[in-house]
Amino acid sequence: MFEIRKGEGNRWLLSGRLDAAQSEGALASLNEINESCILDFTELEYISSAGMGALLATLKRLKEAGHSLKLTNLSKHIKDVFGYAGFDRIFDIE
Amino acid sequence: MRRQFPKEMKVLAEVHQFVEEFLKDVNAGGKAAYSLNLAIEEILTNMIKYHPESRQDVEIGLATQDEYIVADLTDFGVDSFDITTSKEVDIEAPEEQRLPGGLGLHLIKQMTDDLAYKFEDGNSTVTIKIAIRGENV
Repeated sequence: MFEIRKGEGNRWLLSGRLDAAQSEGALASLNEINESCILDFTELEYISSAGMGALLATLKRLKEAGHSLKLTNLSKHIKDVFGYAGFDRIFDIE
Repeated sequence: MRRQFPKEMKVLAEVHQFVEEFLKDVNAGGKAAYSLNLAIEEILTNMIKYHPESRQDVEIGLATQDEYIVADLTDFGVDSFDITTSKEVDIEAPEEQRLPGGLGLHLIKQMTDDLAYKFEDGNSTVTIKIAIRGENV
């Protein structure tokens, strides 16, 4: 189960498991964001390469439109996975 | 534990439950649990996406051996594809040059302690080992 919902301001809250079965729906939801934003991972338990691909596509799209994308509150394990993938150099992570 | 699953993406939630049952049985958690879930998903989705020539169920086996979790996934009646020799992803490339694909296999290699491939009688088996490392629940 994966969910993305609008939080305060330009913050979007991700929760659950973003696996290959959920990545298409996740990308469709992320495509609705058309402003600089912060994706809050506080309730995101798990992400695999398919979910990371959806995030990468979102980053590229927003940057091309002149917007920024920041990720926050990554768990230790998700931070590790981002490191293995080199995503810690691509994404603005706080 | 050993079970067969339909070869389709929507089975991932069921596979996750199967993996979690095993992790509970062997009292493993933390990094080992994340790595096992991720490696199994990446191998299974690779079988689903790139080997449509067979619709047979995929078999997943989970066991412990000394201080390691050993998982094997078998795809029956398919062409050979040795994932241990897959092309490396350039993780230092800037985002505009990063392409989808290949990342899953890269993560498997990073997050497992051993990765082996066997092709026999039209069946592909990928075996991984992950150290439990005492990071228990």
